Amino acid sequence: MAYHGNLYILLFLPAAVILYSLVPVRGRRVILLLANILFYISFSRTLLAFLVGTALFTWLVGLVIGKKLAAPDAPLQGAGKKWLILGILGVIGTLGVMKYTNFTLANLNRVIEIISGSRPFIIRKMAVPLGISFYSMEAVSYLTDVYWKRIPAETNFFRMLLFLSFFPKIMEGPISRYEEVAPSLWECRRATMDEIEQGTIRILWGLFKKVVAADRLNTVVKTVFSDYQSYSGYVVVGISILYTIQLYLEFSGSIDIAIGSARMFGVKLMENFRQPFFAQNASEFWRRWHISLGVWFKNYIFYPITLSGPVKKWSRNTRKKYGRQAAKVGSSMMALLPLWLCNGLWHGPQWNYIFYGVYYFFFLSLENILEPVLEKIRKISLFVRYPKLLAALRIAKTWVIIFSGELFFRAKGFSDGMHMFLSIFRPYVSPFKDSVWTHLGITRSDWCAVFFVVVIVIIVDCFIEWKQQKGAELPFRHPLPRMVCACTLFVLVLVLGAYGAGYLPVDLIYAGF
Amino acid sequence: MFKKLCHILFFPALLAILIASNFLVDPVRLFNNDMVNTRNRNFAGILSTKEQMDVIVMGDSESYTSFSPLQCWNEYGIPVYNCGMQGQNIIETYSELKSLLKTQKPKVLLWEAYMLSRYDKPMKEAELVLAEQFYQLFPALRFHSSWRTVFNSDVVKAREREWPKGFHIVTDVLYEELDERQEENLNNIQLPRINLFYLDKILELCRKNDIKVVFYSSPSPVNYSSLRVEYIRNLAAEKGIPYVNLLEHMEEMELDLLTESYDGGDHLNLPGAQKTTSFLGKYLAEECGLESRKGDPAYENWSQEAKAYKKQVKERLKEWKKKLKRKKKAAEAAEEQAAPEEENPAEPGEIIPDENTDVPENEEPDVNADESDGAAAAQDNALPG
Repeated sequence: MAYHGNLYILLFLPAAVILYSLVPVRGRRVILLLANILFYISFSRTLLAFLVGTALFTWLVGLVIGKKLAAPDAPLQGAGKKWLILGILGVIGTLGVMKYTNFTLANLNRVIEIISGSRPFIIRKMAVPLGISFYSMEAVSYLTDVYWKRIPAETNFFRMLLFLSFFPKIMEGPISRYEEVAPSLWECRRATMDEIEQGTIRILWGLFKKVVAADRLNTVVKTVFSDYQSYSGYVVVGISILYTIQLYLEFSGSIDIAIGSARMFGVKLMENFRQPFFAQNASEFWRRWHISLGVWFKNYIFYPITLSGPVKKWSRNTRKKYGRQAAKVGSSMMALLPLWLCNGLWHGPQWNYIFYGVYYFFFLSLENILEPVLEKIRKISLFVRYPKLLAALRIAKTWVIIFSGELFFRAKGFSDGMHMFLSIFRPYVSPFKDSVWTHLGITRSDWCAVFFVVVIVIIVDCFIEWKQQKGAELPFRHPLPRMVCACTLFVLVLVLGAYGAGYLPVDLIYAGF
Repeated sequence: MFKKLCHILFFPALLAILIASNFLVDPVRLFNNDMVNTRNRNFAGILSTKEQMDVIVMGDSESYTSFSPLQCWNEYGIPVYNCGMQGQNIIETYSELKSLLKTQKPKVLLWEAYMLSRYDKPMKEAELVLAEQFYQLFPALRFHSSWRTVFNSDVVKAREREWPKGFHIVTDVLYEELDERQEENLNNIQLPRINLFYLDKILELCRKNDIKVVFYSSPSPVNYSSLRVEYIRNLAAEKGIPYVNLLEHMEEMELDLLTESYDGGDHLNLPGAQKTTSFLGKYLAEECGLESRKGDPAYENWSQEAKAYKKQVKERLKEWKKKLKRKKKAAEAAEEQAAPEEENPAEPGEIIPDENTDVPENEEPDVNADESDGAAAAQDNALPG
């Protein structure tokens, strides 16, 4: 059942929260675990085995690593390393097999076909376990943190299972660290009324973005991308922007529902978005967009590579010969390349996702290389006197990078994405008497609803950015404005929501990754 | 103290909004002001109808393109309302029937049977079941998108012309016949458990309200394989329901899907529907014992509307004829272009070598645009997901 569906919002979540709140602590753990399992089997009964299997494997390997580290004869470094490698290979291997087998075989077929003319591998449809991309990363994060002695190994299997299977975050994240979430999950504290109300508002805000605007934009985006040869010029530019808006509204909306749901169990999940369109460069964008994924890659790929012996040695030698900047750029590129390849691949087994990763590797590396030049530009008197002008130009430049990147991200494959990108430079001649935008599957009224949501979201995001608050937390301390806000959002979702007769439900984008 | 009160009132306030919506959003008022989107239009229409209907037609797009209530009144004096809904699911049929029985006491339910086995994934079916329970409690949720009609007023005003008493008037013609449906897998046709459950609920509801149920199949070879017809026949026999298969009576009705369908045999246009309405109207009068209510003062308005409808049909048939003429011309022109000229006609027995085999193939219309499968966009541009 999807987070924005009737079953989740009207039945599952309220029932889970009410039952959880009524029973004593031990009972709450059981309720929560049952809720997690029920949520999972609403998608697939058989694939639940992978989730439980991963939890068991991770727990066991974690225990072994912990024992190795705690052994009296354990060396200062490297104790339990083999087990860590085994653990990571096991978890990532399962992810690789379930998600990437067909992609690998299809590409091998292509290569072999060129050589021998035959396609030896048969591609069979494989069901991918729900949330595997998310819980696998959490499992790897847990094992690595145990190895790094950041956290002790978990001795209770059910705590591990509760953490990995926690239903608000299983489908789309945020990717959580064990020590940040597991203790509060196990504590099973009853949420306060403030938390339940805050959670409700957060859920309504998420529904407002997803069900009112993102689902409508999905139709337009689908129409253009599925028939991309018919469009060019300003339509392709427009659709890149609209898809980015759709993705932001939908993904951040789902995360809002996840965070709001978790709040109702007294659990705080990390924010995954921080007004990303205020980013002034690609690097900052990725510190504001899908934050938990960026943090994971930074902690478990970027830093381990840049702080590894060979890279540090190379950096030292390069600094002596070519200077600090060259060393900094070189060592970060050595970490960024595998990071962005993994990021691209994480999104899915398609060449356009890999290109997406390489695309951002290119721009992040370029930013690093051009840092001295950019520093000089910042010191130009015009920009010193008007720093907001410089900020606006930088934001505009970042938007161009983001929207172009999302064009490739959404396209069916790399060649489709490239075709669409090049078609931007071909003027579009509309065959319609009126605006082409009214012929893409939604009416003027739908566009008005989308525009209304976008304006509200811009205002709220600007307000939060201005207040320099982290995340999209709505700051109502007093219950009265909270109630007014909840009622307003409730009415807007009920009236404007794209649900019911005449609307087909739209699946969550990131649940497919 | 005040804070505590706010905490206590938080969720009741949201519930109060839902309850208030029942008073503020009245489907009858919406319908009378042309503020209902197409898919719910017939639902709101029957709730807004003051006259008592003797017959209710249910089903998906196959139903609302094959039976014209006002024509039935003109020919047989039987008051009928067509409550068909695009891509209707049996859960929606039950919900609609339950709602209309609050104000209507029909004698016959004329049910187009194609939608009986319509079924989505289990989760989506469960979502629909839950949604329908909420729509029964809070009807405003069903009609929540009425605000959209404010922006599409031209389209809305045209609707009364296009949807008289739930019948969808179409004057388009494709002038091509699609292939008949190939033999299907029984899995696609058999009613799953949830559909059987709702079928029994509907039959029970009809039994309690003395409503005779009649299945019928519209004359659509595109949708009905012989296996599907056989399955429906057996199901009807098992449930003791009469079944009228219009596919068997196409010759009798002199129905020509080339000219009397707007999408190559999937759905009927106006002239096609006229024939099926006459046939079904005769069945209702003779087999269901429904008497003419012409002259009954309670149906004075209905009678007036039926007279106006007659005039409207004349105009609309002229439209259809013009479109048919254009299509025929285009088809003839296409044929002339495709056929090579015979310069040297062969003598009997002479073998002619193949000179030009490069004949363009006829383009088949997109069968995936079939509304009765519930896959195409609704007429008012509602969203295909």
